[in-house]
Parts: sequence; structure tokens; C-alpha cells
Amino acid sequence: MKVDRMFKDDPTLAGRYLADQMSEAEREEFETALLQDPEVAQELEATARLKVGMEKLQQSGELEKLVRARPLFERPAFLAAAASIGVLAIGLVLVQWQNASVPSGLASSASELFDASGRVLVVGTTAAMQRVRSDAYDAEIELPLERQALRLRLRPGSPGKADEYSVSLARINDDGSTAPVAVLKDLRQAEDGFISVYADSALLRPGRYQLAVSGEGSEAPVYGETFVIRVRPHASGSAAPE
Amino acid sequence: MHRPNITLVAPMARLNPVPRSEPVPESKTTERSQDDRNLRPATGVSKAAIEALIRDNYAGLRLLIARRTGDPDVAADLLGEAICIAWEKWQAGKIARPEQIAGYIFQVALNLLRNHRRTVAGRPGARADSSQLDAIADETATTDGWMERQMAARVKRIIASMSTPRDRQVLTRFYLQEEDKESICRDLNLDAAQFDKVLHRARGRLKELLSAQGLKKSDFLSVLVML
Repeated sequence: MKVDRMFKDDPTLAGRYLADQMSEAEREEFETALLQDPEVAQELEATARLKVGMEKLQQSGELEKLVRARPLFERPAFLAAAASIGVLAIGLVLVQWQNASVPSGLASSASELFDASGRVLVVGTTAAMQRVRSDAYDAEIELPLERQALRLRLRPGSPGKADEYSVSLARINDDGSTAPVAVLKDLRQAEDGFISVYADSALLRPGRYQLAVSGEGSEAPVYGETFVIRVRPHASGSAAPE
Repeated sequence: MHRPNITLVAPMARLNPVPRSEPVPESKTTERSQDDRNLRPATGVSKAAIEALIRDNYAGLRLLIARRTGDPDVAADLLGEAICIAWEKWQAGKIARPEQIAGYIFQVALNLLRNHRRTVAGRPGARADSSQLDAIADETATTDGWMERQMAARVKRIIASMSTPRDRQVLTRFYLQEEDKESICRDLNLDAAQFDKVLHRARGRLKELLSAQGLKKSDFLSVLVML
């Protein structure tokens, strides 16, 4: 049996083998696979490290706190921030309602973004978000001279696949706080695993932005990914006209 | 090949099994036959290469055995014995391909550990108490302590990435407390599919642990080339 299939069918195998919880017959079958395929040994090694790491966390007293930690969206500070954002969002909606020329921000299709005269924006830069494990930016975007729809491609970082995803764009202020810019919901992954969204370049100004993707699975929320983007002014130094 | 800067821990270097005051019953994998003496002619695989493979890439196995035995020296002896047996089997042509050696060592080491625990269970005075087990990381070489901290840091990220306290409980109760799936499901009101989903999610992140110290898929292939 293919190893991946074997662990997919029963993800408890490695844990039970290391805990000596298998019957004689089951252990023999598992050990046959262990001798045949090096990936089984790797799975056991990873599981052994998981167990050692957990024991170390328990020993240091960190584990209990970690297990009981409430998700971010249930914490009082987050709820307070969410309430503030809600008030801000209502304000933004009112402002948008009063001024139809204010760009809608993010869209799932370029055809949903228009300029002041009602023409569909031309698709400009395509930026693929590549999560980097360092201080570098996950993507850099140069603002175009003309107002355009910027295509942003991102891949959710979770191993599980969600049914639908949300993408939010926020500007990162100098003090590290974030200011929401736009949110887009009900997005689906393409076959290549990427999600594409389009941002109106008129919404952006030089600086740092945070692009977060999160998903909702059929049974539970799916862990998402956050990308940090640097938006640079156009090389000519001119601002994009409205 | 990616080679982390790890210093050899002294007990690991002692590869020959030490005599024990009481015989440890051999598992079927440790039984040696007359055929074992007909060693495979020069194969290019040295025992040192096998030791290096285990030392550099299977730290989880070694540290887990150390914690289970409650004595780093006993753990090093068990692992050393497993390496010796594997090497002899390889020399005797009983292991067909070099990539099977790691799996074989896992199997033998865990069988030896099982036998060791049975022996210790029969001698309550020889059993390590929980305070001894907790102190192992501090007593072993600094390198081991450092590796355990690295593993703990990555495990912390894996646990933190689980979306609910319930999912985190599933992981700790299954992998740490070694409770069975049925009782965890019953207590947390989960069905089997939900339980499996939590484990699948964690498994997806286990690769981080392999790259934490040594083993990556590409490295493993390099190790085989070395062998």
C-alpha cells in the first residue's frame, strides 16, 4: 500500500506504533511497511519529535497554557478590536455610499473594478505571494503610472483545504498597527491551489501592507496565511492619476 | 548534504552492547542464526555511516528512547545495539536495500525498548520515577537539550496552529498522554472522521519537525548516495 494512502486511511498508525498500542498482527503488518518504505521511518521520526517536543513543553509548563489558549477571535482584546473595526467599517460604508467614486478595493475579477468614468480597469502587475521565513517582504509591487487592477495571487498555507476563503488587505502603519483597507469573501482556490484577487491601484500608496487569507472548512476553520507586501512608488516618481 | 552542526554525544559513541546484570529477552528481530556469519562481501556501507545516519537524522528516535528508558546511557546502549544488529544483517545480506536500514533500526530499537521496559517492569526498584524522566534533558549533553528545545519550539507552532482548544487537546491526549482514539472521541464528543481530520492537519505540519534537525527528503536521498 502506498505510504501516504496508509497514513491517510489511519493517521493514528505512527503514534500507536511508538506507544506500543498495536496488536501483534497489526505491528507485524506495520513493520513490513516500515522495512519496505523509508517514508514510514520518516513518519515515525517526525512523530517521535512531536512526542519529545510535547514532553519538553509539558516539562517547562508551557503546554497547558498553550492547549487552553483561546483562539484569537475569541479573545477579549480581539473582540474589542473587532468592534472598533466594525464601527470603522460602518463609517467607511457611509463614506462610500456618499461618494460613489471611492474605489471598492478588492475584487475577485478585474471586470468588477472601474475608473471614475466607468471603464473597466486594465489588469497590470501580477504579484505572486511567496511566504518567506525571514524579514524580507513576501511580495513587492510597484505602483503603475496609470490606474490599474493589480492581480495578487496567493496560496493559503494550510494543509487542509477550505471550501471558501476570505482575503483581507490592511495597511501597516509605522507603529506596527494595521488599518483595514478591504475584505473580500467567498473566494475559491483555482486548480493550481492559488487564489487570485484584484486590487485597485488607486487604493494603494507606497508603504507596507498585510494581505491575510483564511478559510472555512466543512467542519472547522482552516488555518490561513498572512503575507507582508511592500508597495513601492513608480520608478519615475509620479503618482498614478485618478 | 545538509549537515547540522551537532557534536557527538558521548554515550552514542559506545556502539557495542554492554553486558547487563539481567539478560534482556531478545525479540525475534534480534535472533541471530548461523547464516548471519556468512557476511556480505565489501558493500561500501560502513557502520560509521549508519551511525552518522542515525545521529544526524533520527534524533527524535534517540531522544524518545532516552525519555522512555529514563537513562541516556541505557538509551544509547539500546540504539547502539540496534545499529550493530542492523549492520550485521546488512553485512549478511538480510537487508536488501540500504534505504531499508533506517526502518530496520527503528524496528529493532523499539523492540529492544519494549523488552527493556518489560524487564524493568519486573523490577520496580529499577524503574525511573517521573522526576527522573523530567530531568533527563538537563542531565544529557547540552546538544540534546538544544535539540529538544528546537523540537519544542516547532511543536509549539504546530499546536498553536490548531484552530481550537479541542483540537489541541486531541493532539496532546493522543500523542503525549497516549490515550486511545475511542476514549478521546467519547470525551470530546467527536466522531472518528473529525478526530482523523485533526491528526491529518497536524501531520501536514510534521514536515517542519523533520527539517528542524537534519532530515529532509532531499537529505535522505543524499544519505543513501553516501551509503
